[in-house]
Formats: sequence, C-alpha cells, structure tokens
Amino acid sequence: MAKTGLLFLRDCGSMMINNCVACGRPVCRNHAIDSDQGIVCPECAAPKKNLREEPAVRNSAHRQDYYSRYGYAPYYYGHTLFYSDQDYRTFDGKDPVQAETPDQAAGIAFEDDYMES
Amino acid sequence: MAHKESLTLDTLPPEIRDAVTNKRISGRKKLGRWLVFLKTLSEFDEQVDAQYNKVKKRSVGFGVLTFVCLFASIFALAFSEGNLVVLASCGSVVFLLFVFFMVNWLNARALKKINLENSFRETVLPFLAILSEEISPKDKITLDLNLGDPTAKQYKVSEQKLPPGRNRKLIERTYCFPACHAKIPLENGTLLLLDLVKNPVSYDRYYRSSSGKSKHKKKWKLIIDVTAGLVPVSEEFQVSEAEVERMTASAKVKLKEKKGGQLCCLREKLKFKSAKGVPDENVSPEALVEMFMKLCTMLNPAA
Repeated sequence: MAKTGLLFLRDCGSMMINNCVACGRPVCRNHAIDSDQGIVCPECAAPKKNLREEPAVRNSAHRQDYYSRYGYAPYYYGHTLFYSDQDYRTFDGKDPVQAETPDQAAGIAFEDDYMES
Repeated sequence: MAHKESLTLDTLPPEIRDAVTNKRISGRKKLGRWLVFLKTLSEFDEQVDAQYNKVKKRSVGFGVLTFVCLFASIFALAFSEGNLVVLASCGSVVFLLFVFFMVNWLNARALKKINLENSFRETVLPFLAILSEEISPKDKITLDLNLGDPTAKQYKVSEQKLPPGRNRKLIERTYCFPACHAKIPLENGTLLLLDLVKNPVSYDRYYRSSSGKSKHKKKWKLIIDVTAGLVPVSEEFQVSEAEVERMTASAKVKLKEKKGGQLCCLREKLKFKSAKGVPDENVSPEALVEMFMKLCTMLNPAA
C-alpha cells in the first residue's frame, strides 16, 4: 500500500488493484503509476524524473529528499508488510504485524527480509 | 487614463479583493479552500510585483531623461540666443518626458498600494502544499496573515540615536511586523502552530566624506523570528523530556504543559542584510519543515 504523509506516515487506505512490478507491494488506483516496465508504486517511480509530474510521485520524491537531507525517521501508523529503507521507527518496540485484509493474508507471503525501494 | 490598479482589482473575486484592500487575511477554512484562495492571491501579487518593478524603472528612466533634456535645453537656448524654434522644440520634448515620468510615477504609487507582502506566497503557501498529504482534510486551518508593509509607521517600535563613532549621526529604527500566525491540524490529531514575526531594522548614517561633503547612507537588517509549535495527541504520543533537554543545548526549545496536552516549541532567528532597501528574503518552506521534523523527533509513543 502506498504511504502518505511527511511528518507521520500512514497507508493510503484505498482498495488495492495491482502489485508494483519493481518491489511487489500492492498499489491502489490512486497511487498506481504507469511506467515503461508496467505498474509501479510511487516510491519506485520517485527516482525517475520523467514520472514526477504525478502528484503522488512528486510527494514521494519530496519525502525521500527531506528524510535523507535532515536524517528524519517518521513514525509510521501503517501495517503494510513491505518495508523500505526509511521505515526504521516501525520496529521500535513493536511486534511483527499480521496482514489486515483477507487478500493480504491469502495472496502475499510474509517476508523476513526488508524490501528496499 | 484608467489606472491599471482598478482594472485588475475588478476582475478579482470579492474575498480576494477584500484581502488586497485590507492587507490582511484572517479566518478558518479547510485545506483545499485555503490552497485555492492563496494560489489566486499569489498569482495576482506576482503580476502586481512584475508590473510595479517595470513601471518603477520606467519612471526613474523618464525622470533622469527629463533632467538631462532640461539641462541640454538650457545650454541649447543659451547658444541659440533665445531662438523661439529652439525654445518650442526643447520645451515640448522636456514637457513630454515630464508627462511620461509623472504617469509612470503615479502608476507606481497606485501599484504600491495594492502590492502585498510576499511571505504568504513564498513561505506559507508552499509550506501548506508540502504538508498537503499530512493535513486533515476535514478540520479547518486557522490562518492570520498580515500582507501590509513591514516598514509602515504603525509597526515602528523604537527609534534611537546610537553612539555616532566617526559619523556625525547614527540612528537606528526597529520595526515589529507579525507576518503569520497559523494553527494546522494534522490527520492524526496533532496540531502544528506557526508564528512568523519580521523585525526590519534600519541604520541611518550621516557623515562627512573626505572632501568635506555631507553624506547619508542607509542600511537594512531583517531578523525573522520563527516559532514552530507542536501539540501531539496525548493518547498516542508524549514529548520526551530527555530529548528536549538534549536539544536545548543547541536550540531554543521549550516544553509546556497545557490543558489540551503538551506543547513543544522551537524558536529560530534568521538574519538578512541589505544596503538597497529592506531585504526581500523570506523563510524557506524547507526550513519550516526541518523545524517541525526536529520537534517530531522529540516524540515517543505514549506509555
């Protein structure tokens, strides 16, 4: 699920329609970005300058830029199984979370390794 | 000749026309409405700024040309021994140049009256746009923006003569201009508070040059006092006193216990200088984001 916010991150909460071809995370209709490779999530599209016209990609690029510039680790409200290299706070004193929806539980295996964007 | 001021104002919606006339925006609206309102006002102000700079340059140009032609005409008349043709042609040229100068000068004056202070479009609007995903779409944002001239008389707080040193006279004038006060509710219930106060300071220096002539120079300094505040949701977060103490060593941080919860404030002063009028710099939205990120790093999940 795509992340939204800047100071506090959370999942967008919309119904997922597809998986990102680059990292495999589920994306919703609002955050599915058409690229040469196929449907990608905003985090995977952010490094590509030609895709930054999309507001979700632009927000994701700004987010990554601010986090790397100021060394900020946001608090994350979400429960996605897909973690990027910015999701440090998620693991502060929290137990691993279970999939929230039946789709997630049935279709996606829980991965022990971090999924880097 | 209709002033450009009246033509442009008539095309604006009433709310924006009021903001331009009163030089103040105050109210509570949802994020979407604020962004539309501020963007329209920003486009109008950019047009006015561009026109004002153009017309001001023209008026200075025509003013200089008028004086040059006047002196040239005097010499021409002296050499022609008062020839009527020379007098008529020189006089009409000088008169035309003077008319162009006056028209541009009056236009510049009229545009200056509707020119707005730029911090709303260089700081507040981009800051709201950056946080647009974060801000609660249902709750209202409280904004109080002052769009007037920071060096207007009503904002002067002090005028004092400083020790002149090598100068004949040195006068310092300080102004206090509250530019912005905002309360921004986030989607998770956290409240962001922002306060921007501009303090322009002018130094008028009167001295004698090496050739004995009396001279005057004016320099400006601008100090922008930025206070960023955070009121976290008490059920979810609490401000770590250890983090506050750690940050106090390098920054002005305060933690207060209020009725609604804890209030954590970070205060910074940004300084700018200029010898050509008041510095026109503003706080960058990235600097504001950095301040709020510093405040958020002091939060811990509530026990």
